[in-house]
Amino acid sequence: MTTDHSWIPLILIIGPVFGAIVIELLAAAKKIRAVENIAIGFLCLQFAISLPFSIRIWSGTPLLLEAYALRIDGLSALMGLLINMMVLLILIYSKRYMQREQEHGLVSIKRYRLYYTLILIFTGSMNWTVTTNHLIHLYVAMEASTLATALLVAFYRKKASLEAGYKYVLLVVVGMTFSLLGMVLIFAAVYPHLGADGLLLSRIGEVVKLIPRNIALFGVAFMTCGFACKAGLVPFHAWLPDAHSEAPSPVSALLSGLIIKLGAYALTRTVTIFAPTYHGIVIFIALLASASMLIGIMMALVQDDLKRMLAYSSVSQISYVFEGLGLGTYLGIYGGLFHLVNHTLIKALLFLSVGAIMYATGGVRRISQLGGLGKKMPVTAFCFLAGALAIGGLPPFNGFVSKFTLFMAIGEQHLYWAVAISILTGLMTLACLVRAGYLVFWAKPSQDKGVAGTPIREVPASMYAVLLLLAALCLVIGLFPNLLYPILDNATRAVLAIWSAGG
Amino acid sequence: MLSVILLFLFPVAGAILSMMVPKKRVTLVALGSVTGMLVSLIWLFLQKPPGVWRVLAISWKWMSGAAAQGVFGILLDPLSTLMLLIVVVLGFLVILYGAGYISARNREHASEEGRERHNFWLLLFIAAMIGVALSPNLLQLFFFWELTTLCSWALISHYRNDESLRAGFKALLMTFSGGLFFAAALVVLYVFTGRFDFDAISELAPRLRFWVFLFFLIAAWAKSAQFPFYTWLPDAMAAPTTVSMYLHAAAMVKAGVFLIARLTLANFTIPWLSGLIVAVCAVVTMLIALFLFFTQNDLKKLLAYSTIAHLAYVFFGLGIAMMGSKLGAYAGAMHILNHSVAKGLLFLCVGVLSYAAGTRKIDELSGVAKKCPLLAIAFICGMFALLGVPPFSGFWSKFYLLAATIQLGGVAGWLLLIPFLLEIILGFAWFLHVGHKVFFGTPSQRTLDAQPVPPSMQFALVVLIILTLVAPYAGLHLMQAMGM
Amino acid sequence: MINEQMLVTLTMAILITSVAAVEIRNLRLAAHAYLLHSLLLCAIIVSYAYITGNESLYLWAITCVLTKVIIIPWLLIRYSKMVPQNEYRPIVGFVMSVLALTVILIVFYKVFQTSITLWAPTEEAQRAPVRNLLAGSVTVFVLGIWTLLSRRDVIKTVIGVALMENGVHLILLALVPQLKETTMIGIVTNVVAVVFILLYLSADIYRIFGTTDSARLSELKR
Repeated sequence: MTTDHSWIPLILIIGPVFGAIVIELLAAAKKIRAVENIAIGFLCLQFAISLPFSIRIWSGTPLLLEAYALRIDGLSALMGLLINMMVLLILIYSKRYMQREQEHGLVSIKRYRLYYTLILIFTGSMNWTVTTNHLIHLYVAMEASTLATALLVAFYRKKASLEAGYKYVLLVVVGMTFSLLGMVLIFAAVYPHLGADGLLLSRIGEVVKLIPRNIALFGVAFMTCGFACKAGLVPFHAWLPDAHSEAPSPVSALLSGLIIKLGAYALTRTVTIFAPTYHGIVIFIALLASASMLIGIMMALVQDDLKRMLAYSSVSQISYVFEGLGLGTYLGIYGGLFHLVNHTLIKALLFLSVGAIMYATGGVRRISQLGGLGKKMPVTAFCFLAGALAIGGLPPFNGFVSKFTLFMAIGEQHLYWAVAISILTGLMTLACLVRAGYLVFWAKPSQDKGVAGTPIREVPASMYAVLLLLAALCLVIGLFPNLLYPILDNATRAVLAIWSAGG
Repeated sequence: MLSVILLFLFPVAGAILSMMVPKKRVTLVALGSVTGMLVSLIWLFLQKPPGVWRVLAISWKWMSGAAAQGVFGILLDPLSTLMLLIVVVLGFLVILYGAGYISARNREHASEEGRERHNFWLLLFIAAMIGVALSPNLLQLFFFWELTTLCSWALISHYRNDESLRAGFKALLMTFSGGLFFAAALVVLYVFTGRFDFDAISELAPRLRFWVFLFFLIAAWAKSAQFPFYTWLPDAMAAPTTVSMYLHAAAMVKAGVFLIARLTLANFTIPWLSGLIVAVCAVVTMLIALFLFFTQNDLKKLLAYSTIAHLAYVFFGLGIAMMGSKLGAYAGAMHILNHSVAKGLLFLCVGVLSYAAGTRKIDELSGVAKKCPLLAIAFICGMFALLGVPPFSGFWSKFYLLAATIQLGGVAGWLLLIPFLLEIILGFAWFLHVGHKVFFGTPSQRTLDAQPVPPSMQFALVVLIILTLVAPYAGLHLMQAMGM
Repeated sequence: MINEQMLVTLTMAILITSVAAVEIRNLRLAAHAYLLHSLLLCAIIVSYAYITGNESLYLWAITCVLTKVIIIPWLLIRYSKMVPQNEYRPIVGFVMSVLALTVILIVFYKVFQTSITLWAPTEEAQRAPVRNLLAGSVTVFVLGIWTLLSRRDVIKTVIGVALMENGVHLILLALVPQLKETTMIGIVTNVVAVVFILLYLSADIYRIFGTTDSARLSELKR
């Protein structure tokens, strides 16, 4: 395989951090109002960079920057494109949302700019995570993204949000320490064969069969637990609902759309390499994911808080991704990555819709206090229900295509119990979210408290444009899934190329 | 080729346009698109005169990563022609009828609000049903199948009051969970055979074949409101009458029986036991529906239970066919057409009653014949067609169903025949009673106050009356082309 | 000068100091115990550098002194001045805790020392001093987990995470002492730990909540 030397990966990482510095400098010069535009500008630039280089990679050559152990193959390109696109959309949405928070005195002007600084730093750390080719850098980059988002989770500095931030940072750091242990074990087992190159993710695949069985299984189990913690699978999910519900809504969309996906990404880079050799790993991940998707959606069914409900639904959806990626077959990885992309779009759509509801009602997010919003906010209602149907896996939305692919991938491995559980979860997801949509948009609001008397208007255009764009993407991907085929195929082949290097 | 694509594109374009044009033009757009659709159908039949049936396949790669074979295509054979006739002709009539029905003059639901929503979902539904009818494989069928579920949910919830929201949610959950069995069956089928074709089931090992077929059957039962999933259909009567007529009597619920008919006709290798399960469940459904006839005061609910019973007839015929008497499958398929026409007519009559008199309660209505003679004629024609009075449509399919059962013979055949006959006779008596009560005798106050009905609705009634007489000939012709 | 016996002794000492850091009720003293623990860790790194001749390990040792011996204990001690002197009552009583800890100590050390072939990848790692160090470091890791599970105090939580981190570092050192990359990994992960702790302690949880009991932080549990 030929490779290309390129500085683009480094630009992707440094760019947002540089943007953050610019914002801080401007803030020192008292030009606070410009920060959101600067942030959006930087992300546009990032997106503009990641688009053409992604296309270059889809022609088959990974980009390399060996001095910094950076390497972009099909999978990194997919993730990079997704990350930069989503952050850009969420920033555009944030503009009015955070302005309102600031006008209502929930956020001081100083913290207002901190929001953009943190999001840019966080984007840089995410870009690093997906472009690095180094086992330990992967750990460090993931930790960096955790720490940056912890500050965003605790952004309101209220008791509840601080507590959520604490829980988040503690649990994820502990979980990641486990994965560090796993990485160290794997490195120790690999270095006799590869020397210092044993730290390169793209080379581990060559020696998988030479690693002693016990070490491989220990290491993989530790890493899986760590990444599951980052992704919020049951039983490591305790941080997830709190963090999602207490963060500002755009940040919830980031957490659910991107941060927990990093766990899945790291899993693909490390654990999936071992799956074809050790069938036990497949079973282990399938068990973990099945339990997690079922428990997650059951918890979602009993929630009254819209954001907590969506958070638990994320627990169950990320389990689909894990299950697919853990299979280690072409179809499994393809389906897992497909669902990863789809879930990012859908969950961002749902969280931002809830954000729109909170924007319009002044922060109400309890289902029992909401009702009858459908007439006043038709666009939001449409977008929320589109998201609910998509995540439930109903054609013609995108959720159907990826879930169906996953079902076939799992069925192909003859894990029929897992297929049954995934299908059941799909039904419960649909029931849960559509019911919530009914209650919020068409049921009569309760009179004594809630939103019965307050005037409610549709959110501003810059917010609902983002919603409509995401909803349209869900529909278009659902109708023409082959649009994504070259991208996903390339990403899947990139993963397969790593472990097939060992022969 | 072009005509088939146009046939599909007209309703889709109509649906999209009706959300975009100003409210005044909505009706015009809908009528234009269904007229275009009807013309395309006629053009299609002129291109391929009856008797010349073949598979037109455009295979378009859709899910390349997961399913290597082409997914979307067109299959035009007698069975799909049968469905296509129902979908397009009744679709045209229902949009025409709806133009008069959804209006501020309607006595039951006096509101024009949501007309564009109604037309959007209805046109989308027509497109989805065309997709179902023309499916060359199970995956395409599944895709459009779920799309019809979606449309059904939106249309049942149309009035957005508590009752209709709950009914829509219930229908969505029940049909969607059935759809998930469909998905599971597809997964197993693909894992073992690598194809989604209708005849792929034959390649499976007999035991697996039974289970896969059972999964398809559960999906079909949920869609066609059969025991034990029948409860959503009566609740769905909270929808506008146009929807009840088109989705919940003529087209959508037929998707379930259509699926089983497809599978039966594509593989006569389905185990005998599955046939028995189908037939027994059909008989159970018929009897449950029969007992529930007597408790209904709402004409629409009565018709809903009758729909359940008649869908059970079709299942019954298919079950008989799986057990060995092929005639049953043809009779069942023919009954799909005959029932759609007859039940469609009856629903439209009830719609006229609620439009004109503002009620559909049996005890509030009597002597309607004096006030609206056309309505009475239409209702009686529909009723006779439904009950199987010659020369109306229902007679022919019921006749063949009975013939098939007798042909099957044996203990099973005779044991199944008795409850089937019982249901036919008792249903006959009860419907005569209800029809007599509503249309004859001294007019009630509600009837005297009735207002005139717009011509578009009257036109739809007249067309359907003619169809109840003509349908069996088309049906017989198609069945002969199929090999009866 | 530096021989196997000494490494084994250091391992034992590091175990004892970690137990002390976990069990001492007085928070300042616990922080000091942790300081001692870190110092011993640095001593082990230095002795490895001497044995293997890998000079880059000295660099790691220096960073370790900076972060683990100076910065983290300093943060902990500074924080412990703001809160009550004794830790918030742990979930498990003192006697039970010591008993459980002893059991953990003995069982894990023994199990990992005897079944070393199961999970040490190289021949070298299965021989005497490394073998003991590996068993010891796994035990430190487990002690960290135990601390997280049984303690509710914020400072103790931090010590727990730090112990886990140190356990991983010791394993790394024991398994791959001869590579430059080991130094790099050690230094980088050190920094991560410090940032985490800084973040965790900087938010003045005590001032806002009036307690350092992390179990009381449960307003969100519904």
